[in-house]
Order: sequence, then structure tokens, then C-alpha cells
Amino acid sequence: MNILALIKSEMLLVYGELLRRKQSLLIYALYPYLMTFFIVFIGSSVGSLESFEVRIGVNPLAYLMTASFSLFVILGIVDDVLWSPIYDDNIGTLPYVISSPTPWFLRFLIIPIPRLVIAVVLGFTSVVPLFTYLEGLTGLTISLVVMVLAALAGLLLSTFAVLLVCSISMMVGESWRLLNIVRPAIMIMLGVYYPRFMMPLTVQVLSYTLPSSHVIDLIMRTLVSGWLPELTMAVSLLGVGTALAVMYGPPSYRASKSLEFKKLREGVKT
Amino acid sequence: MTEDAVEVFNLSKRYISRKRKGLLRSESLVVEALKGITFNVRHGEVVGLIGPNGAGKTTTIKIISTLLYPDSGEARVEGFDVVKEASKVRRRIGVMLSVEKGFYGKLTGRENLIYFGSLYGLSGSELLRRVDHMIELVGLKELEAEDKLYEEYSTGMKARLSLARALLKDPPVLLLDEPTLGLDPASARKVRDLVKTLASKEGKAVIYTTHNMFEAELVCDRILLINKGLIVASGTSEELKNKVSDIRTMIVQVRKGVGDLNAFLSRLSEVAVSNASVEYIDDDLVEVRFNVKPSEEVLDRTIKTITVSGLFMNSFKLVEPTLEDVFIYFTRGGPA
Ligand SMILES: Nc1ncnc2c1ncn2[C@@H]1O[C@H](COP(=O)(O)OP(=O)(O)OP(=O)(O)O)[C@@H](O)[C@H]1O
Ligand SMILES: [Mg+2]
Repeated sequence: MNILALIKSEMLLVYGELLRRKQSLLIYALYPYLMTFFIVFIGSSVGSLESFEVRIGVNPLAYLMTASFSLFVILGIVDDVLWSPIYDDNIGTLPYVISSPTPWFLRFLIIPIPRLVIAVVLGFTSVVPLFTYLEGLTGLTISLVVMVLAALAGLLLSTFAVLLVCSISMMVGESWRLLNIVRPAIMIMLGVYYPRFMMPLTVQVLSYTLPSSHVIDLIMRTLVSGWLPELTMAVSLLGVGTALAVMYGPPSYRASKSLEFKKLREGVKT
Repeated sequence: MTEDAVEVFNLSKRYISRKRKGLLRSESLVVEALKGITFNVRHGEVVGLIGPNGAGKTTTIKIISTLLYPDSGEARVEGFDVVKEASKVRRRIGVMLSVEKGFYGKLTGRENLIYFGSLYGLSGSELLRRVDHMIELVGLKELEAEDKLYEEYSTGMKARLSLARALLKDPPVLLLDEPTLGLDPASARKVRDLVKTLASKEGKAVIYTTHNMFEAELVCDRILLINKGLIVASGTSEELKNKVSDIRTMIVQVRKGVGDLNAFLSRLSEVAVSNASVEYIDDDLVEVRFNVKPSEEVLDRTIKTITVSGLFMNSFKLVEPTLEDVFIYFTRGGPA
């Protein structure tokens, strides 16, 4: 098994699908801007931008752009993992994926990697120019850190946790409708737009179990402090996130095996 | 190698599905797709699985390709169990399941092969070399299709690409489910020739399904006739024809529109040993074809039936059965 070859061909697939669909490429690039302006537009009808800045201590445009960017990176990765069994089933590639000597589990793990590059590219069209415009060199530095952290958040979450969620929801019912429930739930619990301390207790507890929510926490703290995160805090939040991500490993492996078992019991659709 | 490339022993599979009765009501329905089939395939041999729709051919192929668990029985590929040693089996098979699906639309044919090649464990220059070789071999190059997006492919191009993927890592065992479906005659011949060569020259073991009897006769060293989940006859096409050596196929041509054809067909069951097939030859001739155990009495009664139904007989022939007649004999109204 040559992992590098697998990663390379996954890149071919992802960039082929993305670059050859011009409209989706445009939406990708514009998404953080659209989200930001949409929220600013709604927000300014209930309160002013200045009062946001006074209360949170961050420029609202910078805050919202970061939130939108992080969310987009994470959901981009999460979606592709969640969707892949349904997608492969629908276009008929699943039997060839399953009957190949490459374990299905391994292929799941490779899915996020090409998307990380997309995250970086997206960072350079959204947070980086905005932060640099607002705060010069300081802004540039912060935005680069934010970018790396967001990519990390996406990777940590998807690697095992989403695979677990994915396998379980596929076992319950193989339908994109189910994903439409799973997805917003992840979105809220990440605490991107909606800070964790404002959540009801149960949601808050669930939120703590998502590896990426800790990285998001770090991103938001960085923004509020206005400079690079403090080292001990950064290490502890990243440590918790990573440890959680690793803890999802064994159950997610088992869940993906059960999913495969279920598929083989019914017969993989051709 | 002494052992068989593929061994299938007493394989059975039932599907539990639902019979829909309106939008909400349904009851569970058990389909016995395979009822215990046993066969083997040697290296260098093409074995045809031939049978009517729903006979269980695809089910058999899926089980051997590690895509479906059997309920009971065993299947082995080069000695490895398809359930317990699936990953070893997967390294030894090339699979082609449907000609029209199974690739990524936004990638070109070549890129698709690279993608699946790496899933199959190829990499680096070897991967590229194999991909180029396959593009050439299945004739995608001569169609100048290798760098077109898959979504722009014609059916024939898709089929060729699908075959290319099955051959990509040079597996010793090929499992091909209707590989020539939808191909033009020249392309179908190309696929047949290729499969035959791979078996005879490179010693590959091939399981091949088709609905084309002419093709089955040409490609397959051995044919398994499968019906309702059971193998009802097997052998070379000559052997199969000999199994029905006491059978002849009667071909009666009658004038169209004269007499009562339906009455004739329903009376035929008294003499025929299989269902009749009816074909409209041209504007005024109808050909009825059925198998009989020839004897003076049967001939007499057939003629009488024709007369009683008021048909105008144009010609009347008794011929050696073709493979298709054998197929019909064994799968419809045959000895079962
Ligand atoms: N996933 C499934 N769920 C329920 N029943 C199924 C399923 N797949 C196949 N069957 C049933 O099993 C039987 C055998 O199907 P199979 O696909 O093996 O037939 P086949 O010989 O390949 O036919 P064809 O010539 O039409 O391709 C059929 O009755 C079919 O309806
Ligand atoms: Mg079939």
C-alpha cells in the first residue's frame, strides 16, 4: 500500500471536481465574504457595529470573517467525509472502492488531506487580506496563525470523530436527509458563531467532546487578545483537541468496519 | 499451479426485500437468489455464466468479488476464502460490474484509471505505465478518448474504461458481468478477443456473463446454465447441445394474419418440450420456433395443430438445436 500515491490521487479527484466546476470554485472563494456581510447586515439592524467592538473587543468584520472561514474549512472537510459513502454509492464507484485491497477506513482518513490545501488557498483570499488591511503586519501574522489553526481544527475533527458519526448515521439510515440533521448540529456545537458559554448545559457538554471545538476556542481567544495566543493555553487547548481526536480512533475504526459489514450483508449496489 | 483459480461450493444467498403495496404498506419478501451452486474455474479458462434475468449471475459475481456475503457455502479465489480472507482475495481479482457506471465524471478516463490504480496498490512510474498500456489495449487510444472527461464518454468508451480498470493491476482472476452490453459489434468482438487471449496466453481465469449465446459460444471454454439460483446444465457448448441430442428444434413459418396464431401457440404445449418463441420475419411471415422430441407421432400432431388453427404454412424445418435453443430448453419449460 503506497499512502503517498493514494494521497496524490485523492488530490487529483478533489481538484478535478473543484477546478472543473467553475461556479463551485467561485462560491468557494466568495463564501466567507457572503457569510460575513450577511451577518453584518442582519446584525446592524439590531445593534451597531461599534457596540459589538466595545463588548467583544474585536473588529466585527474580522471576527465574523474568521468565524465564516473556520466554519467553511471545517464543514468542507466534514461534508466530504460524511458524504463519501452516499456519493460513491450513487455514482456506482463504491463496489470498486470496497473490492480494492485498500481498506475503506484508510481511504476515509485520506479524504481530508487535499482539502487542507484548499483551506490554505481560501485563507489567502479571505482572512489574510482582511486582517492585513485592518492591522498591517500584526494582522498578517494573526491571520496566518488562524489559517493554520482552522485547517487543524478541520483535520482533527474529521479524522476519526466524523468518521464515527458518519458510520453510525449510515447504519441508522443511508440518507442525505440524516446528514442534514447531523451537519447543523456539528455547526452549532463547534461554537463558531455562537460562543460556548452561551450554550445550554447539555449542548455545552457535547461541544466539549468535539475535538475541533477546542481549536475554535483557541482561534477566538487569539482574536480577542489581539496577538498570538499564549503558549501554555495554546498547548493545552491543542493538546485536549488532539487527545480527543485520537480517542475517537478505535471506536471509529470499529464503526467503519460495522458499516462495511452491513454493506456486504445487503450487497454493495452496482 | 494445481489448485483451481476459483472454487465455489454450495453457495446460497437469499435477499430480504420488501414488497411495496402502495406508499406506506409493504410486506417482507424473501428472494432466493442462489440455492446452492457449485463450480470451479481453472487458470487459463473462461467460464460463462448464462441464464435468464434474475437467475443469480450478478449475485454470484458479487459474492466472489467480496461485495456480498453468502448465507451459506463457500467461495475461494486461489485458495483464499472470500469472506474470511477478503483482503487477499481483493489483491487477486479484477472486477467489471456494470458498463455504464462506476467512475468519477469530472475526471478523464486516464485520471480515473490513475485513481483506481492507486487504490489497487499501484504507484509511481509503474502506475503510469500500466495506465498507458491499458488505454492502448482496450482501444481508448484509437478513439482518442483517454483525455476526455468521463461524463463525456459514450457507452462503448465507458465499457472499455471499465474493462481497463479490471485489467489494471494484471490480476490472475477476472470477474466480468456482461462486459459487452451496449457495445457495437466491432467493439464487442475486440473485448471477446481480448478476454480469450488473456485466458489462453496469460493463464487468467475468467468468469464471464452474457445474454448473447453467440458470444458465449465464442468466448467460453465452458458454460454454466443457471436458472432460478441453480445450475441446470454445464459443459462446453458442444456438450450442452449433445445433452439435448434427443431434441430437435422445429421452425415453422406461417403466413401472417391467416388463421389463429394464439390458438396454435396454446395447443403447442401438447407437443413441444419448451415454450415457443415467435418472431416476425417480414411483412407477411411469422416464424415460430420450439423444441420437440422428434417422432412420427409428434410430427403428425404438429401438422394437425397447424391445420386445426387455420394457419397457412409456408415452410417447416427440423434442425439441430443451437445453444440458444438449449438455453431455452433448460431454462423455460425444460426438464425442471
Ligand atoms: N439487493 C437486492 N435486494 C433484493 N433482491 C435482490 C437484490 N439484488 C438482486 N436481487 C434479486 O435476486 C435475484 C437474482 O438477481 P441477480 O442480479 O443475481 O440476477 P442476474 O442473473 O444477474 O440477472 P440479469 O440477467 O437481469 O442481470 C433477482 O430475483 C433479484 O431481484
Ligand atoms: Mg446481472
